[in-house]
Amino acid sequence: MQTTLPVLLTFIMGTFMILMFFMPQFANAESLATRWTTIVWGFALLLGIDSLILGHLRKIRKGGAQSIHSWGLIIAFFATLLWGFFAWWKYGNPFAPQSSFLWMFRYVYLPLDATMFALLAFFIASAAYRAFRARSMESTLLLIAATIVMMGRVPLGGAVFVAFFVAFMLMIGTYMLYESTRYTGFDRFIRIIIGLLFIGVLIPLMNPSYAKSFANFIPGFADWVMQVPNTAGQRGIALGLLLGGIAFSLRVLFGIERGYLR
Amino acid sequence: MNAAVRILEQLGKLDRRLIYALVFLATAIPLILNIKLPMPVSPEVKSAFEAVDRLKPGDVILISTDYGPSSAPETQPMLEAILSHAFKKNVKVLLMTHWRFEGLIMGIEGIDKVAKKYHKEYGKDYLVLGYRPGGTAVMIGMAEDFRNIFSTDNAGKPLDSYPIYKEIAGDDGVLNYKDIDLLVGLEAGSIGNFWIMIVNARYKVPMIMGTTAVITPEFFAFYQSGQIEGLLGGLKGAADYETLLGVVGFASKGMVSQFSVHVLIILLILLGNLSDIARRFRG
Repeated sequence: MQTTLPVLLTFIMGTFMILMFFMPQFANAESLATRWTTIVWGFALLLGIDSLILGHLRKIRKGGAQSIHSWGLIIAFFATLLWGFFAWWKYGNPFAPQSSFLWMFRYVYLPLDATMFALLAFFIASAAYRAFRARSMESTLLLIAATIVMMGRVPLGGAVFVAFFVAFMLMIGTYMLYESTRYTGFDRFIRIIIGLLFIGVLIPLMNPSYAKSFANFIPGFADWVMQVPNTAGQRGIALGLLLGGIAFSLRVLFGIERGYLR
Repeated sequence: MNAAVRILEQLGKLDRRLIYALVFLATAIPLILNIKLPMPVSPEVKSAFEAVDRLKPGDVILISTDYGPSSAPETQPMLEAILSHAFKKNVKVLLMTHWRFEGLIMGIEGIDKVAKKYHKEYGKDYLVLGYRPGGTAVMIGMAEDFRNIFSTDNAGKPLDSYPIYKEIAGDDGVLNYKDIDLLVGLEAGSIGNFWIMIVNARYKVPMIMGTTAVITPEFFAFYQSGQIEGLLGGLKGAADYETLLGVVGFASKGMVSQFSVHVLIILLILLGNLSDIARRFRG
């Protein structure tokens, strides 16, 4: 009974919602059900708070160096809550324009939230420098695509991309010519040809109008990368996710998947 | 050659604090210098601009600010640019959020700032509906009557007590998606998908979206299929909109910072790779 009733309830409500979606004449019933859902969401938030607080209280009870963070969370949580209640009592709404709670929210919480996210830029730069290596075909393609999109979507990006391109080709060409000195015969010949090819590609770019055309081509090419290969991949991911979602929903509806009851 | 290889190897061991300092300088200096550089406008932003531009005085846009302060540098300039455009055209604006509560505060900051600039009056030219959690349930609930979900506005007054409500709702006195001429979803999470899948697909409300750069790639499919009329992707999307609007806002200035940080990151990646090659070269 403990599991049969929730599974039955899930089946009835799930089927009801699916039918409502396709039957506009039951719009009122659907609207009522969605109002219930917003109430359930409210209780889900309470459940989340309960779980967060209990988890951190357990950590405090265990002790150790990390418990200081849990103390911070608990103190900040209850201070914010009490402050919110106080502002509610004093101004009728914690977010009233003259409320001190709104001041705290605006000048303490919002900057903290923004700072947490802004730190990512520093970590991404450091991580990319340390870990982004073009050691395989896939990672090299990713690096090239990323460079084109990153440069194609900023002002002057095309011109800087041309500079990167020239430096890259010169570097590879010079490296191949240097490598050729360590070989003899056909091996040396092939390296000289490859080295000259890499450098030779740059000859048209010595003409400023060609270099400018190449620079102007990059933003359009970045748009093409976003709109064609990227969108093709995203469509595949979206289809996979949605088909998986349908399969999972049917499993929940028919009581095969009962993980949510635990 | 050996000396060059050794130098390259050493360049692969830069201290992370030096990298942090470089990122900070690359971000801060262009903002302090207040530079603006020209940039071609993306076609998807042009479409979004045209969708707002087609609106007539008295038409209504519903803006959902589904983002928080973490993504505000990208989405807040979008909100301000779209609001400026709408208020310039005397379009009525309804604002709401249902993803993160912080989105409401960001939305109020933006709409109050722009409304003041264009001398627009609360309750007459624009209305802040407020925040309700519930995702798709909120969207479906609003289909019949917005008052099902937002019985009062953010200030706690009944929606139908405002002149803007009476004007928009018309003779039947019911405000729902039929009264909305354009829905603008400013998104930093997954809620944007549901606006398209439920409100656009089911209730045929025309939509444009403004998304953070991280989630923009997944919305191109909706733009190509015509489900959304336009798309503002990241800071570049906001900067393009400002360009079309003829204003130099935060996004246009921020793009120069984005340029310098992008160049720095690519240089660092190249440096890391060169150092790796040098290490392997020496065996």
